[in-house]
Amino acid sequence: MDCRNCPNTKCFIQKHCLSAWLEYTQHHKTSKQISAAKTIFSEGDLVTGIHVLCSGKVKVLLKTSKEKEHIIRIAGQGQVLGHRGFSEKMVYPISAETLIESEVAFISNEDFFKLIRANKDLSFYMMMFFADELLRSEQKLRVHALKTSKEKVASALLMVVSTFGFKDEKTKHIDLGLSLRELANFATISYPTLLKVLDILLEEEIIRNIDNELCLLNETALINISTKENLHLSHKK
Amino acid sequence: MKRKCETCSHHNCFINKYCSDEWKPLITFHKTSTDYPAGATIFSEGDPVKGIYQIYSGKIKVITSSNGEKERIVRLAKEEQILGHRGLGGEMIYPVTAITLEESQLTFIPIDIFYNALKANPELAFNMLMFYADELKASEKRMKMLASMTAKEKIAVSIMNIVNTFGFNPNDSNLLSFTPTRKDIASIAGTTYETVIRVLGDLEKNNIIALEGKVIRVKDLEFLKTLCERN
Repeated sequence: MDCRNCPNTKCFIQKHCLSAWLEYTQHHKTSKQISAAKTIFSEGDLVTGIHVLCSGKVKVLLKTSKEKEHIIRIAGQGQVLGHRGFSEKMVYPISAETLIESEVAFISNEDFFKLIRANKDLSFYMMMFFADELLRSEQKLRVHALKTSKEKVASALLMVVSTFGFKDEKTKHIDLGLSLRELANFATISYPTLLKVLDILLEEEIIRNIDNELCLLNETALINISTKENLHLSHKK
Repeated sequence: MKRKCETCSHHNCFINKYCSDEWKPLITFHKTSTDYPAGATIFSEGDPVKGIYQIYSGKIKVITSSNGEKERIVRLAKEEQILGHRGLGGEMIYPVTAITLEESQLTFIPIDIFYNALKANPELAFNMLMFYADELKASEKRMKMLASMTAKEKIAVSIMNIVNTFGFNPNDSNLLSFTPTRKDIASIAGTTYETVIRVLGDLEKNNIIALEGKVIRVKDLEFLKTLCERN
């Protein structure tokens, strides 16, 4: 995609950079079309720049033991990828893999730092983005152990909706991107448990299953389920 | 009595280091300073975030304590460092509690002033961003550590954390300049008080550290580092 005339209004670069800098980015970035289920970068790789997901869907994986991988984040179009590699060591602590065919742009560290320094909206956005990521990451860890499977599934589904949105705004077809097994992994529960919880949510008419695709019927109910624990935490004295 | 950012000698303070000279008087004008005794709560989990703190002097522990769970120290902070950044973002509610470890002086900058400063001082925004990036990495490393490390490794990591934050005594190069209580060390390591006592005893027996009353002396820093890197 062309930064000077990008149709992706969700892209944080496009949103927060001055037009002269978008032109600069267009000249200095490299773009790649990557097919589904391919690795974009791996744990331990050197961080030489930042990736922007122009289109497609990506999962971010953390190895928790030799054979276990945990999906800690999903990213949709216009989102940054590989920000977890930023810090003095500049080595990726996670891996990123495409879920579907994706276009990924790469901006070198040098150029990205230039962009950040020259575009105050971008630097402010990136700072708040990191603040959110830190909050979310720690909250997930803490709340995690206390959550019921139903709460975990509700949070995971809401995360999918806020990242990938709906395939169809009218029918509320969730643009899932993940397989159900991956969704279970993302929600940190087993696959059979996920199926059980989905059945309960179907029964309560919070979601609906149409042609093996999930539709969200009652977003408010889902939010209520997922935030019960969070609210409890933040208002606890 | 208000200290002036313009003439402050704390050169590692983010405000001092990364704000333009024109901005410092403005921050001075809007900030407030408060003295806290040891053991005082600066802000609590669940409080709304109204600004950001800068530690002028003293030492602070940042803790979480979810329902029924044990207190866990997520960060140690000292003078010239920022405090309360975990509250930014999301719903602007503190997810953590900050408590002084010793008598401390804190400067408070209202949130709208801080936001304006970030937008007007690109170097400040840039360095805050990198600071968050480091914090995110450190936080996730800690999660991994809690899940996979042995008690000995956890305590080695905790001692290194204390060393990296507070450093050694300037007059005695391998004596910790500040040793948290054994209970606090347990909260940093995510283990129990009893385990801390046992592991510290083991480390002393193997001549890695020496216990001088409350204070810890590090005799073999390299060994502690190797313990940390095993994961």
